[in-house]
Amino acid sequence: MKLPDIMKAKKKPLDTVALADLGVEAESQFKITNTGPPPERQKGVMVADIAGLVSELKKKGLVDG
Amino acid sequence: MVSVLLIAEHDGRDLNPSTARCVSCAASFAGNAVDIAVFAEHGQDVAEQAAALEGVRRILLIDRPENAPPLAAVLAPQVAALAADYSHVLGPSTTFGKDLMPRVAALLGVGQLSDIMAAETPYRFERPIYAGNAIVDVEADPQTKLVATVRTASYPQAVTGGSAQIEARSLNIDLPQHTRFVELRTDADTSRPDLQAAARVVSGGRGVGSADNFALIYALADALGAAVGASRAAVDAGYVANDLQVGQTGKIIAPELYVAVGISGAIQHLTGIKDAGTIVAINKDEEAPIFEVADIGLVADLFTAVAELTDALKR
Repeated sequence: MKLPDIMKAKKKPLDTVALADLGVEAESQFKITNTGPPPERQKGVMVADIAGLVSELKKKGLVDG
Repeated sequence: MVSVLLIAEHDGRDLNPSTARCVSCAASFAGNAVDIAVFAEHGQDVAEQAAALEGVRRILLIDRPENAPPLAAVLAPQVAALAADYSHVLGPSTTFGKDLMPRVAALLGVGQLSDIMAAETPYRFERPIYAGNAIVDVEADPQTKLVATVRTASYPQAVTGGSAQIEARSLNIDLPQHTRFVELRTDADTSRPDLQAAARVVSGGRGVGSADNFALIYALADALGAAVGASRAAVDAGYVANDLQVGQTGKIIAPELYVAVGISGAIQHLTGIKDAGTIVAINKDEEAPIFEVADIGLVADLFTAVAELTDALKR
C-alpha cells in the first residue's frame, strides 16, 4: 500500500449507523459474573532413572506388577 | 422446566465416549430430564449403547440415509426442529460438536455457550478463557433456549446399566441439498486407540527429532496400550499428521495416563492435558515447563530412556 492510496482512502465517506436503526438487539443472553484463576496442579516427583519411573507408575497402579 | 437434548456423537457403529461425558454434565444440572438424539442410518446399535447410559430418560432415534455421514449442515435443521421441546441443547466440544452446535444456535436465533466445565445451576456455568488460563462464571438468561458445548475433559463418562426407552422419530422437514458427503480419505491408524477417547496417551514433541524417530513413541505406546499424540512443534515439523496434535489448537484430552516425551510444555500444549490423571514427562532439559505440571518427571535423553522404558514395560 502506498502513501497516496492512504491519503485517498482518508477522503472516502464514512457513514455512522445507529444500532437501533438496524432493528437488531445487542442484548447478550450471557453475562460474565466472575473471572478467576484455574485450579493449579500439584508439583509431582522427579525420578532419577527408568527403574524409579516404573516403580512410581506401579505405585499409582498404572502398570502391572 | 429444565430439560436437555443431547446430540450423540458416533461413527455409525459405536457411540463416542464424548457422549457419555456429556451425559454426566447434563445430569449434573438437569437430573434425569436428559434425552439423547441419535442421528444415523441403521442407528439401532448406537441408540442401544446410548440407552444403556445411566441417567438418560429417552433416546430419540432419527434414522434416515441422509444422516449416515455426520454433516453439520444436514443435522443442524433436524436438531433445531427437535429443540422446540427442550430448554437446553448440548453437544460435546469435539470436532463434531464444534461443527454442529453453532449452526444449531444460529438456526434457533440464540448465542452459543462453549466449553462448559462445571454447572452450578442450569443457567450458571464455568468455562475456560485464554486457553484455560482463566475461568469465567457465565450466567445465561433462563428465558432463552441455551445451546452449549461441553468440555468433555472436565467430566467423567456416565456409567452404563441404564435402560432408557428408544423412540424412533421422523422429522418432516426439508434437508439442505447444498452440502453432501463425497468420500472419507484418511491415513488414520485404526490399530491403536483413538486419541480423543484413549485412557492412555504417549505424545512426542520436537525433541523426538524426525518422523522416523517417532517409531520409538509408537513402540512405547504399544507397550502401554496407548494412543499416540504429538505437540504442535512435532506436527509443524511434519513428524506426524496433524490429527495427532494435542493442545489448544489440537485435541483437549483427559486420559488416565499421559506420557510427554521430548515436549517442553508450551502453555498451549498444557491446556490440552490439564485434566489428565497422571502426567509423566521425559525431557533432557530440566528447566522445561512440562516439569511444572508433571506428576512424575525424568530428566534424561529421550532416545535411551524411551527404549529402556519400553523394554521395562514389556518384561
